[in-house]
Amino acid sequence: MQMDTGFPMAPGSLPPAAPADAGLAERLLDRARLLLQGRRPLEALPMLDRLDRLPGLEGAVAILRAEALFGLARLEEAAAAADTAIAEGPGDPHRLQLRARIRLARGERPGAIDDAAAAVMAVPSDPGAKAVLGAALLEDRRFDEAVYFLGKAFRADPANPMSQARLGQAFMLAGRHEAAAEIMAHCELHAPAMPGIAALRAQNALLAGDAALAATLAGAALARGVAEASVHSTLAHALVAAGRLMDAAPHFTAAARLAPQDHYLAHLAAAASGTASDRATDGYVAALFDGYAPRFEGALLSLGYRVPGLFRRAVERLLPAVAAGEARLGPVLDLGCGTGLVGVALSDLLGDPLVGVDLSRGMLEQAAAKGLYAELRLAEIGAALRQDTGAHALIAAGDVFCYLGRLEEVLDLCRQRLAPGGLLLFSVERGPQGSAWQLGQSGRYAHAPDYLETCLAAAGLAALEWREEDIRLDAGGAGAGPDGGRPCRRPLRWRSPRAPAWRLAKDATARPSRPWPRARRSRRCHCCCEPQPRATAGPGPGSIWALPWHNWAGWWRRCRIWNAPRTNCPSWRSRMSGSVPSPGCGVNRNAPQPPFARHWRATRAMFRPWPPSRPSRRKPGASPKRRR
Amino acid sequence: MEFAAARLALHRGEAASALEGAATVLTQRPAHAGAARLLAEALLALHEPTAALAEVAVRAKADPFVAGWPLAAAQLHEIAGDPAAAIAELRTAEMLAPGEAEIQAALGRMLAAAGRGAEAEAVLRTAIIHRPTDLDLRNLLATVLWKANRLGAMLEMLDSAIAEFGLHPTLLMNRALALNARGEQDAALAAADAAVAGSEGGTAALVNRMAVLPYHPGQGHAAVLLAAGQDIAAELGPVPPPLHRRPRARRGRLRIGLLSGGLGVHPVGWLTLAGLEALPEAEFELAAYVLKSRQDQLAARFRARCAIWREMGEAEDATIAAAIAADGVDVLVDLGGYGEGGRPFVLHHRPAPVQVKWVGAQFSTTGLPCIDWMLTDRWETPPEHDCFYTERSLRLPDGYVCYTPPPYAPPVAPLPASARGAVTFGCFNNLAKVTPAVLAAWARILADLPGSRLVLRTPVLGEAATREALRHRLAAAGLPPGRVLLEGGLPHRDLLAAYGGIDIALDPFPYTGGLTVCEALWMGVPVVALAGDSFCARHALSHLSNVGLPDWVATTPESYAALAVARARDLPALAALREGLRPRMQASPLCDAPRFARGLAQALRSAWQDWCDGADQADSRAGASARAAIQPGVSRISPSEASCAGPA
Repeated sequence: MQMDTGFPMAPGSLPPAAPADAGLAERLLDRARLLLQGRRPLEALPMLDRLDRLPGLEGAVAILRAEALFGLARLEEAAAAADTAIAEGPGDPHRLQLRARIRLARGERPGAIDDAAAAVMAVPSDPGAKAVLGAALLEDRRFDEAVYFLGKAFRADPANPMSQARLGQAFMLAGRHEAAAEIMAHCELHAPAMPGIAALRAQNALLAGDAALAATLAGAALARGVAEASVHSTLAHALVAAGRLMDAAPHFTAAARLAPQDHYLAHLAAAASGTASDRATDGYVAALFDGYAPRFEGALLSLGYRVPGLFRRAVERLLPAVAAGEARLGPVLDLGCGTGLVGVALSDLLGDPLVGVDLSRGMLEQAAAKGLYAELRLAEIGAALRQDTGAHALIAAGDVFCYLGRLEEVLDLCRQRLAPGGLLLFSVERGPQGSAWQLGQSGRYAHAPDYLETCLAAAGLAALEWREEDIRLDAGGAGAGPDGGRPCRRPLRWRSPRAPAWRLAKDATARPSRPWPRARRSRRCHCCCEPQPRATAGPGPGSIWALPWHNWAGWWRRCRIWNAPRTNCPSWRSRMSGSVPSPGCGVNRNAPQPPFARHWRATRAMFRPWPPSRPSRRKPGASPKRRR
Repeated sequence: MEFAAARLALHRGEAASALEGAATVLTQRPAHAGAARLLAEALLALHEPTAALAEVAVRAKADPFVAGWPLAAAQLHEIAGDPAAAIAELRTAEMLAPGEAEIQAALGRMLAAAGRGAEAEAVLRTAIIHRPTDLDLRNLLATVLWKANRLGAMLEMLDSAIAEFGLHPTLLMNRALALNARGEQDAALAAADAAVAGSEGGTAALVNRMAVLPYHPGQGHAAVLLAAGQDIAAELGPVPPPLHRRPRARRGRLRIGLLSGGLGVHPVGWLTLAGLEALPEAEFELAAYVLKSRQDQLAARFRARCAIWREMGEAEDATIAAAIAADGVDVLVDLGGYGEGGRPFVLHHRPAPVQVKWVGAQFSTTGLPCIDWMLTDRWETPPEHDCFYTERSLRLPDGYVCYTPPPYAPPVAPLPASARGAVTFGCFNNLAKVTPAVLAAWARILADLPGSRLVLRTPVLGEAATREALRHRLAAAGLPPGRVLLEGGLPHRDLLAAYGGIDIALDPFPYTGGLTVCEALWMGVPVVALAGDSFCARHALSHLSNVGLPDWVATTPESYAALAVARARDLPALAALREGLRPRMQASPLCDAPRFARGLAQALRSAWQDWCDGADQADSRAGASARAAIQPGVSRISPSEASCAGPA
């Protein structure tokens, strides 16, 4: 038989030769099943590959191949095999469950939930299917549903430490930390050797806000001899949260050594031990912000994050034509866009497309939900700048350069991508004067001003403005302040609730300075009773104070304006539009009321002389009357 | 015929025609293992390994039920260093061509190498039936049975092989190990000597003899061990040029290398981990060269402490030495020695300037001139014993090890003798340490204490044949059979719990217990021991002195028996001692990691200073001309530290 070094036939063009021995296919299939049950997917796979294209066996072989490939973490091929298997046998719950797990491992959450739900519906009594569905819902951050299904799986087999741990994790992610602590403590008591349970318990305590307890739990686990990267990492984070940065450093190092592929821990270990690399790795930034994405905006707003607003003010200062509304802002490139806060700040000034670049998929999903960005790219900023061809009027890099040490290259790329006269806005953390750039213990880089000047000059960018600002409140008090850690403060203006309104409205023009009648500080909507903020300061066309008081028409109009339903009340609006039926109770609060029935005080006030001479009848020290 | 032609073609270098020929042979005889191997080699000559595998995969897809393709793929995986994939392909080949001896043999070999003993045994037995003339298979089966602690079956196998093949040195060496493990030290030493005589040079037989010698009651003395070590050194040949680069910093962070296959749940792990973990990170950087990868909690703790972690596994001695030298290790600590899995000859290549021997088959001097220091203490090597060591003694202030108590150790049980009325003696040591003199002493003890009993627990006693053989020896020594209990092995936690049934532990001699003594003390059981003159004979003396019980160590077998009887008669004192033993041990230097680490740090620094002084002196003696001749090496000096006065 002639055979050249190429092959005489393309694979797949001829049907495979049937085995000489009739029972061989059966034996191979049985052996492969045994090996899969014995958790040996690598050994089962060559046998299954040979049975793959034999007629009559496709379905059975496909599902076993899918299982073997899933066990070997070859997820694409496993998904293809699972699809074949389900095409052969659509309603089989076992196949649906396997495909759900494969899809979950690949990150296809909606598909995984569909398959898992179908498996549960096919066999409602199977706790394994419910466990898979619970895990899929947990990945999708639908915590309550996940807790429901994992709870069902747990109740079917309460002694199984795996189901206990999963349910505890679901509680923890749903924010129900006491329930999580209880079930995890139970799991650890009965199965102390289960990998990851000690770290999970400590993590739960840390997320509940009790850093001291988290440190105690993790330390106890280490003393017991549980040496896992997750335990060291949780202990290090707990110590950082408690402010003990020096104690955390050896644990970051130990965690990084135990998990050498984890870039997040590697970067933190380098930061903690003072061995700096050139820049934070992509893996670190992606891992950090993927985990942070869901609660990013809430956390930063509570910290008083000011960078988007500062950028907007800078644009208004430096591009007055745009601020005045005469010109629109050209193409804007937002490096490290995150959840799109800079886009929100500049949204009304945009004339041309806004493009955002970020390394974290979770953050980009949040940005996409805002609907402001024309294009969102999942890329590293250097790579994105190199690939980009446009000339941008504005490049904004808010809180991105703190993850880079050396800035020469990226500043040069920014200059190349700016249109003539374009503007680059960036924020950095200020480092000490002598060193060019320094990796701080928080994992972020700080740059010295002279180094920045050198880099800008080398890149060919002219520095228009340097401003020192407090970017946010930090737990340690050393936010973006200068070296020395001056605690940054938000300017807060409190308004005493007792101060009469007329005193505050001193600046308003054409405002009679009458002490009486007093305007309510907070008006309440009479249908939803929510306090309504004051719409405008000072008189406007519809203001009560601009009306003549002394005649009937003025009084009538004042009452109507005062008592008019608050048109910005959503519940009123929906009821008025007829989309929501009004309750059929005696008093119809929805219809505008005639003034007399409700506002007898105002009626009496019409005839009351000015100023009031009689002291009020209320006892001294009583609380002021509140209108219901 | 075509096969021979194809093989010739490959020899001549015509890989393409060899490939064709091999493929032709396989189409005619699908299970021809030689043709498959030839095909693999020809493909490797033509393509890259991944491309070769892809080609074989394509052919296998075209002809799925031919056994030759998975055989070729297995060969390629084996060459690429992927044993798991090779085993997978061989299993398929075995299913496609059942009964083929070559496939069985290859599969058995791979399974044994992967450590899957149960499966390997079944396959190897089948393979031996089909290929009775293959010596390697029998040897391999012997190794598999050794790892499974089935010494009776192993000896049976070896005896039948010797009957068929004659006195082959490898068979004799394995036989020596098996006999030694059963406690038949004389026969073991005789077999080892025969292996030395039968092998033509080479160190393997000498190392095997060295492994068996310390257990021998008559020959296990320091002087004999020193002579044996020096024989090995003589056999090694000339010293190759040192691999480590100069110059080095005198002060600054020292890089300590650890060469071992026991960095995990192993006596080396239990006795060294606490001390190494407590070494300050700022002054000592640890680099581990792992000869056997382990996945357990102690291994994870080692991994967390060591900055550099290199899995050496199957590499050659020279490769390992090159890696150690490339990392710039200052002090190399050998934790393997002549024991199983140890690679003492890596140090022969001088990868580090200072080389130290510590725990890990540390039963005597190594005899090798390349090892500079022996890390020890004043009880293990008192000054008068220095003549028995070719290394210099680096004495630590307290004990030479720091014990890590297992975190899952059960609490100390109350004294069993209080409930039972009579004392239970126990020996959980390896049966190899039990010599006729030990049995005689034990017989005297049991005779003096009516009602007392003795419990021997070790994994090899799980096999009936070994138990029977031991019972014969016990009867010959005069031990009453009804009062001696022979038990098999247990998981570690249960083994510690089993100490709850023992009142006094009796240590054997000349090779005393090491880790066993520490475990017994941690479980509240005091140990009666006898101290000899070799390093391994004084392990128990060191641990007991460290804990503060030096009066539990005797010097002659008669005083050993008398001491045991005297202690057994004083039950209240025994109970009080048992209660207080664990806290006492916790407070003692044996478990005090920070204290041990301070001593260890000082010792390592002094060894390093000593080398630096020696290097300075050598340089100053060399003079200006030599200075011109030496090339400046690539240095590892940290910029802020002063360097040794080396060539500029």
